[in-house]
Amino acid sequence: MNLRRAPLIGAILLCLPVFAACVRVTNPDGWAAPVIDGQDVYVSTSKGHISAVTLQDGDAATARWTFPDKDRDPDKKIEPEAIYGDPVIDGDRVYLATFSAGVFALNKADGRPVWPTNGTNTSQIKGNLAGGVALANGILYFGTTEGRLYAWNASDGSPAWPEPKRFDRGIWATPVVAGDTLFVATMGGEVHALSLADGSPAWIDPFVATGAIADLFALDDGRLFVPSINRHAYVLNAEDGTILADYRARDWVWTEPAVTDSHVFFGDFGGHVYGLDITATPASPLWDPVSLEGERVKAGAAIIGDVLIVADRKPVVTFINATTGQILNRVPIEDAGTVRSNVHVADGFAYILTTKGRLFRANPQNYSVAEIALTGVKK
Amino acid sequence: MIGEIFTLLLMNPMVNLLVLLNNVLFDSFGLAIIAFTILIRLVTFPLTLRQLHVTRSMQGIQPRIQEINKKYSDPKRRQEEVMKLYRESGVNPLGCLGPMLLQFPILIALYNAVRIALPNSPEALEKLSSHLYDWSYLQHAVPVQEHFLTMDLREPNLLFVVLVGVTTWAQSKTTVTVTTDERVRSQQQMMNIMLPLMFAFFALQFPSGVSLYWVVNSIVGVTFNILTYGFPALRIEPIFKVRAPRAPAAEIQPTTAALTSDRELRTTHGSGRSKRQNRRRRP
Repeated sequence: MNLRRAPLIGAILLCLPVFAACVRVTNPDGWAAPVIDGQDVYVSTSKGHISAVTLQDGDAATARWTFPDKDRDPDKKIEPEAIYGDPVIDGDRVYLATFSAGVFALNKADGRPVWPTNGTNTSQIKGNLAGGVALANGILYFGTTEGRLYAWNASDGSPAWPEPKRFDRGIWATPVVAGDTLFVATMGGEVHALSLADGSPAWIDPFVATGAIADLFALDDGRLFVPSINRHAYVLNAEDGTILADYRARDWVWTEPAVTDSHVFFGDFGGHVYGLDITATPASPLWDPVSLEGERVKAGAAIIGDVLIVADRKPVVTFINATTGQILNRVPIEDAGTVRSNVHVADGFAYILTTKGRLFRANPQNYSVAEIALTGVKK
Repeated sequence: MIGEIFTLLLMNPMVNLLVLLNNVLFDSFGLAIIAFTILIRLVTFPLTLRQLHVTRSMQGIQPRIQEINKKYSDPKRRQEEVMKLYRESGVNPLGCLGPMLLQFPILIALYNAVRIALPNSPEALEKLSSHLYDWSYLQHAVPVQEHFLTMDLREPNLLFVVLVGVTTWAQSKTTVTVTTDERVRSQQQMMNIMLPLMFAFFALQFPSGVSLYWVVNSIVGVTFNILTYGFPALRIEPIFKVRAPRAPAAEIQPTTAALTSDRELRTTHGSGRSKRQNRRRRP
């Protein structure tokens, strides 16, 4: 090689990592909400890792286990990247859908996989999992970004259907079970109802919205809440898919609502919070939308008593009077990333998980927010 | 501040145009990328043409520059003579920089727009919301269909890795080399190999939607080069005639005039000519 060319080759080689960094795309972070089970909290901390932490007196919690565990050889090959759906706790197991490493059944006591026992089960799944799993009658249901709906036996992870059901567009929302029906939303803007018994269609036609549906929730056995990025929030009759309420928000709605008997509360991507009375059609607003200074709301709100708790992208935790829409307090959270996980309610408190894996507890009594220090979490 | 202006004035319009084209072109994001790249390159063609013209003019006076380099050993005097030659020939050595600098942010925005409009994760779709205009026709289209000709545009694709390498190489080969200096020429020849390899390496990590943009961009670049310089190997004459640099009043040499004719202007390795042949022609 001509030595005069060496500096040029060196410069090009040095540029490679710089260019490679420039082309990085937005990586999956995940937004699974913290799930509380007695004194244990299951939190998704980073890169699709889940930790079981035990709440102690005061504002502290210690990790019992983390999965995948970087200190265990079998786990080193598992790269989940992110967890979007909330983990499902059932008996002595934790069921978990990861973005790119498949579905796991973990032993609640030690966090070790019950299945799959050898690595991952991604070879059985086409696409990534941008939602979670729904558990009904011993069967786990989950959808993928490639538009496949799977049903697996929760006991051993074996397929419950001979073939997954195929849809035209990806499934990002966690499937919902209400009564004896399974509901599935697609990014093509459709909601399908399937009989749990045999997977046959339960509605004559699917519900069709003009925008993608990335989330889906059951308000009760008879009603579904369908947020869409066409800026609408629909309430559907679970019986036949007809629209009970259709409310046009000011921006994308992609969040779980906080629900009372007759009201729903949710935020939008333009930083507005809405309170709707859904007992009538069309749904009527309880108050003018509350402005959160333009900060996007992805995290589902929580309602405790008459206090609505909303965490936005900044992140700021806002306490709102659910009856009047008056802002009671706004508490910024410093240096904690952002909040996309739904706010979880337990024991009269709201739990907020940030993208940096920090856990906070909001108190609706005095409108304050305090951090729960997590120790022993492996990242 | 600059980043916000860049996003507001360049990137957001491009993202929205991409999504609009996706809607118009049968919900095919692959077709949208192809149409979008060609459209932007056509809009910026006057800039490209100007840059190509300046490069070509520079090529024309290279033999004279080489003569000056041989004639004057004092660097200061040499520089003065070269500048004088530029003046007399009506060539601005920095003339190709202006159009290039203007195109650079456009290309970056184009590249980013493709990445943003093709979300590879839920977070990326969330991010897209802040770039889309408040127009239901656009809002209803996202997320766009990720597949094009059975390929997932969000994932790297080996076919596109090869295509990126080949088209980048083809673009280098059809680009005029300005210098006649042997050392610089050999470096440029090496770059003609290294650049395609480097971009093929990047394409291993790119979503193939971005690679598709790059391939179309390179094909359009090759087309422009051929339209401007012709392609002697296939006996294709240039369509856009370029004015030859003005001959210096007193020192014009017949050989120099001959060298500035269309026939003698050649691409990097001289289409249809060997490196050895090129060397022989030099004075």
